[in-house]
Amino acid sequence: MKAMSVANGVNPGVFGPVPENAFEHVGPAPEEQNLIVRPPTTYWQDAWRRLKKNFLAMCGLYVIILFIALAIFGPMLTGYTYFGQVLTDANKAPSLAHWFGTDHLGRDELTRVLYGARISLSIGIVASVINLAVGALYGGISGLVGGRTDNVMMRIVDIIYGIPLQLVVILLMVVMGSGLLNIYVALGLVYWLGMARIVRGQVLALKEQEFVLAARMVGADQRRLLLRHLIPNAMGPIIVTLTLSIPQAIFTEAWLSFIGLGVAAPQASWGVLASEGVGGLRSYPWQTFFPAAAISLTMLAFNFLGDGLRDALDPRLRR
Amino acid sequence: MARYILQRVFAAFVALWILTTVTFVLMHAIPGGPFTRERNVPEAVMRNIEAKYHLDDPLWQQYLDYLGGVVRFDLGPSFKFQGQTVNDFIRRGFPVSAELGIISIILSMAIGIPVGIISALRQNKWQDNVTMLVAIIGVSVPSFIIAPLLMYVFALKLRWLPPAMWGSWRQVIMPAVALALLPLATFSRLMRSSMLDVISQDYIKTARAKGLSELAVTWRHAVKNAVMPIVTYLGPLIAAILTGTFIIEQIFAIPGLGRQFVWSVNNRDYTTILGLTIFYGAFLLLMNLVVDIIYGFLDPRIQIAGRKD
Amino acid sequence: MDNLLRVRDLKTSFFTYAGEVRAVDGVNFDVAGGEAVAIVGESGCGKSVTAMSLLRLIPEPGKVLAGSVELAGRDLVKLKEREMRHVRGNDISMVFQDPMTSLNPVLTIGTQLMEAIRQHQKVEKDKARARAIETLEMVKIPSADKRLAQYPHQLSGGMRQRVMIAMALSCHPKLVICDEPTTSLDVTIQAQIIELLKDLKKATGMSIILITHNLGVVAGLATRVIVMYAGKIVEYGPVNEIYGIPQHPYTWGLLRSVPRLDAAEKRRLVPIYGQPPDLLKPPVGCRFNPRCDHAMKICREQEPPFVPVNGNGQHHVACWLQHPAAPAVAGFKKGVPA
Ligand SMILES: Nc1ncnc2c1ncn2[C@@H]1O[C@H](COP(=O)(O)OP(=O)(O)O)[C@@H](O)[C@H]1O
Ligand SMILES: [Mg+2]
Repeated sequence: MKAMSVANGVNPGVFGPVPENAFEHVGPAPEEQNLIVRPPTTYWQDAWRRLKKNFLAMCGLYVIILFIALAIFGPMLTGYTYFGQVLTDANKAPSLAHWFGTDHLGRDELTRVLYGARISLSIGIVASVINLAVGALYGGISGLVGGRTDNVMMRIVDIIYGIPLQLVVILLMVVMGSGLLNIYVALGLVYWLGMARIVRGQVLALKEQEFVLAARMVGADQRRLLLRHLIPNAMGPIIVTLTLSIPQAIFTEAWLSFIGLGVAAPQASWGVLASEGVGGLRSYPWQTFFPAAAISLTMLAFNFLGDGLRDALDPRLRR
Repeated sequence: MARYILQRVFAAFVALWILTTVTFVLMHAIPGGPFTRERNVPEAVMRNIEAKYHLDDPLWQQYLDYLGGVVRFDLGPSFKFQGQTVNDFIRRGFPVSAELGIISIILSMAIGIPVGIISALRQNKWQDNVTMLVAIIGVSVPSFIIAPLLMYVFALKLRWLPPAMWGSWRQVIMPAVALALLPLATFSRLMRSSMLDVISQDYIKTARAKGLSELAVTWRHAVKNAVMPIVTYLGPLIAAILTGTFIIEQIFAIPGLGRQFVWSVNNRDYTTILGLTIFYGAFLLLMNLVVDIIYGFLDPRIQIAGRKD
Repeated sequence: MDNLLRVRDLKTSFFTYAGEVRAVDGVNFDVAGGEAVAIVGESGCGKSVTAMSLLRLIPEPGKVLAGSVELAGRDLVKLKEREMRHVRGNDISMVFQDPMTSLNPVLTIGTQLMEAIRQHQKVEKDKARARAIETLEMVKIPSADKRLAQYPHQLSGGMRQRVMIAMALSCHPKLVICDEPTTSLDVTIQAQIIELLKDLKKATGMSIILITHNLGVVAGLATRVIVMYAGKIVEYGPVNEIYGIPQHPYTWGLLRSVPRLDAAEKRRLVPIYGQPPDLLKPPVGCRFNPRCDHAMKICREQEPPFVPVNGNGQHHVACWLQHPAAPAVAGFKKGVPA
C-alpha cells in the first residue's frame, strides 16, 4: 500500500484521516442523479402559485368576482328598478335614499349602475367567448391542417387585419340597429382575429411535440386530436388573450354608446349611463362619475388580472 | 425592398376593396337606406341619389359605378344635408381632426417611449413599479372617461382651461391629453417589454464585453432594436386615436370630421356614413402602409432580403 | 512560468427565488502569457459563468461573491466599473458561442468592429476603419473592405464567427476567452475555426481560454486542460496527460463520450449516465458521486481534496480513488512517476 502511494506521487497525509470502511464500493446513485430540488409542480399549480404572489392581479380577480356578484344580486337589493321614473326626484344629488343620486328622469342611479354591470359584463364575457369560439376554430383548423390551407387562411386573416374593425362594428350596428343581442353579435363576430393567430401559433408549436405523435400513432383522428390534446395544451396564451379581450369588448361597447349605438333604452350599459351623464356634467357630475368609475375599475381589474396571468402562464419564466 | 413595398401596397388595396364591398352590401341590407326605394326622403335629395347611384341599373352595374366613384375619390352627396357632399365634410373636418391626432401622437411618443426605456433600465425598482402602475391605469381608463374628468376639474372647477371649442392652443390641451393617454401608456408598456427583451439578447452581452459604456450599450445597441417592434404598433395606435376623436370631438365640441361622423350615425345620414367609413378605412390603410415602409427601412433584414425572417 | 492571469478562490452565485445557485464555487487556475488553456465540462457546469466572472459581466440576480482575478498583477475584482470597462475588449476580450445571435442584426459589421476600436484607442474614423479591415484580413475573411458595409445576416455562420474573432482581436488583447466558439458550427467549420485560433495565437502571442464541452476540439489548440464539474474544478493538467492518463472518473467519462477530431481510429462513444446536479443543492461529498461507477462510501460523505499526481506538480485531481487505501480500478492507469 505505502509503496504504491509513493509510486503514485500522492502523499496520504494530504487526505487527512478517513473513517472506517471509507473505501467500500457503493457505485452510482441513480435515484439522486435527476434529483429535483425545486418542489415538483404541474404547470397549473405553478401558474397559480405565481398568480397568488401577484398582489395586483389578485386584487383584480377579487374586484371582478365582487362586480359579478353585484351584477347578479345588486339590482334586487336597492329597492328601486332601473326603469322606474319619479320625475319629481329628477337630478337629485347622492343621498341616503339614493346613494348614487338620480338621473334626469328620477331613476335611481345606483340601481342603474348595478343593472348596467349586468349588461356591460355580459357583453364583455359573451363577446369574448364568441371571439374565442370563432378564433379557436379558425386558428385551430388552420394550424392543424397546415400547408396550403394554412397559408390561404392566414393570408385572409392578414388582409382582414388591415381593415379598421371599429368601422365595421359601427356599420354593423347601423345596419342591425341598436340592442343588446346585436352588440353581442357585432363584437363577437368582428374581433376574433387575434385569437385565431394565437391559437394557430400554439397549435403549430404543439403539433410537433411527442405526445401528438404518440396520439397519432394510436390512431386518434384529427378532430379528437384538436379537441382533446391540442386545445387544452394551448390554453395558457388563450386564457390570457381571453382575459384581456373582455375589457376590450366592454370598452368597445362603451365607445359605441357614446356614438349613440349602444343598447336600447330603458336598458343602459355603463357606457350609455356615462354618455348620458356627460351632457349634465356641469350641474350633475355624479351622473357621469359613477358609471365612469365602474367602467374604469372593471377595465383596470381585468387588465391587472390579464397581465398577472400572462406573467404566471409564461413558460419562459419558469426556472 | 421594392418587392416588400409592392406586397404591402397590394394587400392594402385588397383590404380597401373588401371594406368597400362590405359597406356596399351592408347599405343594401338597410331598409330605408340609400340603395333602396322604399323610404321617405325629400324629393331633392332623392334626385341627387338617383343621379349619383342609378338605382334602376342592375345591381352589379351599381356596384361597379360605386367602386368607380371610390377610385375617383368621389364619395357622393349627403343623404341629409342638401347641397353638401361627403367630400365637403372631409375638406372641412379632416384638417381639424388631423391636427388633434398628430398632436396626440407626438405627445404620446415623446413621453411614452422614454418612460418605457427608463422603466426597463430600472426593472423591478420603484421607478419601474410606479410607472407601470400608472401605465396600466392609462390603458384601462378610456379617453372618453378621462375627457369629462379633465373637463370637470380643469375647466369647470379650476377654470384654468376653456371647456370646449377649437382655435387657440389652450383649447387643444385637454382633448389632446385625453386622446394621448392611452397611446402614451401603451407605448411605455410596449417599449419596456421590448427593451427587456433586447437587453437579454446575446449581442448586448457582446457589446458589454467590448467595454462599451452602459450608455453606449443602451443607446446604440438596445434602443434602436427595441424601437423597431414599437413601430409596427403605430398603425393600430393611429386607429385608436382616430376612433377616439369620434367621441372626444363630440365632448369638447370640436368641429372635426369625427363629430361629423357621429352626427351622421345618429341621424342615419347613410351616404355620409358610407363615404366617411371608406375614407377612414383608406386613411388607416395608408397609415399602415407608411408604417410598414418605415419599418422596412429601419430593419436591414427587410431592406436587403425583402422579407422578414 | 510567469502567469498572465491568476484566478483564486472565485465564487459566483445566482440568488433565485428558490435559493442560492452556486454556479462557480471556489475555482483556482492560472494562464501563462501566450498559453492556451481549455476549460471543459458538460453544459451547466459553470464554465460560462466562470468566464463572465472574469469580465465581471454576471447578470442579475448573480454576484461574484469572493476571490481574486489578477491580470498581470492587477486584481480585476477590486477595479472600479470605469476601469473595468477599459479591461473589457482591450485587455481581455470574448468570443461567444452563437455567432448568429452575438452580432447586432441592425448594425453593419464595420460599425460593430470600429466601435470596439474607437472605444479603447482614441483614433480617427479612417484609422479605425483601416484597423478593422486589417483584423478582418487577419481572420482570413475574403474581400474584407466590402464586408464592413454588410449586415450580419448577409454572412454565413462560419464567417460571422470569424467576424466575432476579429472583433475580439481588434484591440490587441492579452487574453481572449472563447466560450464554445465552435459549438453551433458545422464540423468542418469547427476545425477551421480552431485552426484559425491556433494561427492567431502564434501570430499575436495572446493567451486563450478555450471553453468547450467537447474534449475533441481541445487537443489541437490548448496546452493545458481544466475539467469542471458542478461549479468546481475536478482535474487539471497538461493536455497530453489529460488525454493519456486521465485521473478523474468524470474525465474518463468525458473522453469516452466525445468524438475527437484527431482520433485516428473510430471508438465507441459512451455517454455519461444522468445529468449534472442542480446547483441549488449539489450532492454532499464528491459532487460527481451519484453518477460515478466507482463511488465509494467516503465519496458520499466528504469532499475529496486536490492532490498532485504524477510528481511533476502540474497535474492535479480531486478524487478519493487517489487515496492510497482506495481499491485499484480495472483499466485505470494511475499517474506514472515523473
Ligand atoms: N442568469 C442565471 N440565473 C440563475 N442561474 C443561472 C444563471 N446563469 C447561469 N445559471 C446557473 O449557473 C450554472 C452554470 O451555468 P453556465 O456557466 O452557463 O454553464 P456552462 O458550463 O454550460 O457554461 C447553471 O447550472 C445555471 O443553473
Ligand atoms: Mg456555457
